[in-house]
Amino acid sequence: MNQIVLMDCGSVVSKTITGLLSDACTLRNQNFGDSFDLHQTRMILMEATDPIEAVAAKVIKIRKSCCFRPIPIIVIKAEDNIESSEILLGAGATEVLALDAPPAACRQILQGHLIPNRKPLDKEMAYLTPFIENTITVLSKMAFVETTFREVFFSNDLKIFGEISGIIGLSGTSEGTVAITFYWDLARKIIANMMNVPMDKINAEYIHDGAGELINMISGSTKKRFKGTPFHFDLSLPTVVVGSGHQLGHPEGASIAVLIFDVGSESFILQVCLKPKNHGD
Amino acid sequence: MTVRGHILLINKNSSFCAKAISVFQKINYLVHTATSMREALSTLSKHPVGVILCENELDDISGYDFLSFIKNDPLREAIPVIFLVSINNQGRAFRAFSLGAADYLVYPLSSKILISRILEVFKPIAEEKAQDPPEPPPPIVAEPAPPADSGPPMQVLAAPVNVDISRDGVLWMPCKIKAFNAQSIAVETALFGKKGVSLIIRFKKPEGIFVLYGRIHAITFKDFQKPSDIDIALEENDAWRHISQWLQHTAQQTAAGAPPSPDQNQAAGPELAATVALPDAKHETTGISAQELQEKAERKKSSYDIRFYNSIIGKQLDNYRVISLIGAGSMGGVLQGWDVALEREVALKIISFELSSKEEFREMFIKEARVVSKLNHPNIAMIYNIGLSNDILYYAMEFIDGVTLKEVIRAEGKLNALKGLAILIATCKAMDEVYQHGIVHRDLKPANIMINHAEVVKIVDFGVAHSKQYKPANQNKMVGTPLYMSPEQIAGLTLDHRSDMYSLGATFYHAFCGTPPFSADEIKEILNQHLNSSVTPLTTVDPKISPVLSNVIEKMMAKDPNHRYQTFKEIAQELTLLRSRLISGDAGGKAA
Ligand SMILES: Nc1ncnc2c1ncn2[C@@H]1O[C@H](COP(=O)(O)OP(=O)(O)OP(=O)(O)O)[C@@H](O)[C@H]1O
Ligand SMILES: [Mg+2]
Repeated sequence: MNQIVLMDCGSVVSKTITGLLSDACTLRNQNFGDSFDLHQTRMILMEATDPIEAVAAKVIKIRKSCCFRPIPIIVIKAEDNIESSEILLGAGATEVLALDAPPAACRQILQGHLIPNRKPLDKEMAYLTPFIENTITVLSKMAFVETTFREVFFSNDLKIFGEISGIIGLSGTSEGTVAITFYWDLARKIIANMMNVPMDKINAEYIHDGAGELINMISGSTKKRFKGTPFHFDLSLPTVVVGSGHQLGHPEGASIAVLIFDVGSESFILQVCLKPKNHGD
Repeated sequence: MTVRGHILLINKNSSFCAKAISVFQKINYLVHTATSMREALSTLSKHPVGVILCENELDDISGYDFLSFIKNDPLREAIPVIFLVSINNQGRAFRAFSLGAADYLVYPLSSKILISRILEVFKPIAEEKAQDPPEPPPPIVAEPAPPADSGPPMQVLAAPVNVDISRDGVLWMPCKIKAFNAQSIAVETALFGKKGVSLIIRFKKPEGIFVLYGRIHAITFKDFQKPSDIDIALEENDAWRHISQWLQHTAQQTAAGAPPSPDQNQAAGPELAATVALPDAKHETTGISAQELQEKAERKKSSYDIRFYNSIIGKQLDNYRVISLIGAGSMGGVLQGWDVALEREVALKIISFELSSKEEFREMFIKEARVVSKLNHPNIAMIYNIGLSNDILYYAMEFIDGVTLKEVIRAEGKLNALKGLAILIATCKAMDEVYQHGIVHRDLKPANIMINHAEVVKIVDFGVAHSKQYKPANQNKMVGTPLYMSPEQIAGLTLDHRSDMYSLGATFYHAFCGTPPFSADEIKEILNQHLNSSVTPLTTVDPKISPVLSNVIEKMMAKDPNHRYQTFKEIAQELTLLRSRLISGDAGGKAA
């Protein structure tokens, strides 16, 4: 059964949510900072009791501890306020709801977020597998890092929460984008290995070159595997993007495959958005 | 000794390497060696290498792949790469050249030839560029006196100007211009770079799109949580002259206390753009304020609905993968979907939470959909399936790749007679079929008539029409649009196909005249006019409209259903006649 974590929720919120969702999920109360089981948790609901900046800081922490898993984080606030909602959404919240919102609306919105993300079909795996294999190879060859592929899901959300991304546009028989996204700590480790410099020497320029090179190598080596197939593409220049909650310029409306990889206890993702040009008509 | 230049030698033959190092050392060139791409890249990031000598095979990658990697890297593509291969393993010269190699040498060869061939392509690179990057310079905007080499002082903009920025012209990121001078701009953006990297900046202005080219002159960033501040030196061209003047103007205006000019570049969020396409001022005609008002009301109400529709994007409902939000109305939202079983595009109408939480509505909705799904007509959007998944009530229908009549009116102002007649005739024929099945649409309006790319008319939103009876508790929220409602519908009477006829008349009144039949600031007033005022004849609004057409529309809009046409067939026949007369050049009543 779906497990929902109610974080820092007072009795009013707990009661309201129980009323709305208890038929579909098990609810568990806990405080911020208590650990939760990533594998079981389907959604995290948090009541915003602190000042907005403090709530946002908590959201950032929770989002990071989700290790790129698509776990919806819903913040419940006393009243709707666009400005503070923007801050929370920017920090990694999936949705911000007000206590005075119509219950029917809340139920539907929460139910919508509870639907699991779509998993790829076999034929979609066929074009994702080369990316998975090459990501692992490039990281092991270039950065001597042991990487394991964990899971893949599809997302239409342009917002992926990480701190640094290398992204590259694809054009040709197929179009789209491929992007690699890290949190800063792991990016630094990998790039230090790759560039053969000590971690503390890693500066902005190394990060810039490293993230660009990683995505270039992953897409470049995968490109070859698609020669002569409908998935063939050419590469544009790599673009590097920083900032938490940055948006990547995937084509609008496209489904993005999010591939999660683990390096020890840390994770990074590869987003693949690849569409043969004359597909679907 | 002053080093004249750096050479990167990628070669596994250590005795050859040792020889090469000493040959070049004599003429003051420093040779760095590597055997793998990883080592090579590390050297390239540390030293200003002026030429790369590369073998067929590296430890981790082939020489050709390495070459193509370098040639695809914007920061390194300028470094010449010479293939330097052993006579025992010569590889393919043609391939190397086609990938961008500068030369192809086979060793052993004499030191003299080696030196001359290499120095021929050697490209000295300014030492400054490749030094370990210095501490990030102080933020440009906060700095009163910018570094000497960045030109005249920056003029700070009171309100940042939003533009797009890109490395490659393919992927665009948002970017804020915060200050500028004659040669450069200071921006804040999540796009990251380093000194020397070239960038493209795109301005969308009412008079056109302006593209500026520049290079990163300085970049400052404090941590990876925040966007960085970049100082971009711009290429002198017409676009920059234009934009620079405009920035100057904006800065002066704001300095003089005038409100900052509205931001031309602020694109509405996708959901807003999908929901409320703001009326284009150019085509604005008189008295549309009620429509505006309604659009505003819709926007406010839709906030929770939109969040609900967005929550299922990327998910799957039964066999339908939800791709994106197309638009939202009073009854629900329309999302683009993909039927994974039948592999075809569908449009998914998701019923709004307000309606779907009412048990009676759900039952009636399902019953209606059953009836409507029996309609099989090329001009009516087919209903494929109705479903309830994860508590979400929806139906899947034919996906129409096209535009609504509402969008056509907005874009064209008003329709020309022939095009409009073709759409109206097709609609009447389809409505006749609907009438034969005893079904009333109840919500005919420009937004519910679509035209696909093959110019085929498709009527949408059958079957949900009954829900109009479910007025939301809050009377301030409008259900449907008052612009096209029949008097009997407003009065809450029983409806038949003649109510649809009135709405269709009102819809095409709008389409031909460019303005709806009645308009007022208050919704109440519009409803009142539908009940009591006669419409201004179409020929009065626009004398170019054929009187025959004018009369047909007026008759469709008679207050008393008995005074209207009694079937859609009659209208179709009359208009077909008019259309063929217009085509054959005999304007019929047009000139009369
Ligand atoms: N079958 C379809 N295929 C493609 N797009 C569609 C389809 N049906 C509707 N749309 C698009 O979705 C938009 C929203 O439709 P929707 O019916 O929700 O709103 P509306 O027609 O403006 O108002 P109402 O809810 O009163 O009918 C339409 O404007 C149209 O652009
Ligand atoms: Mg509609």
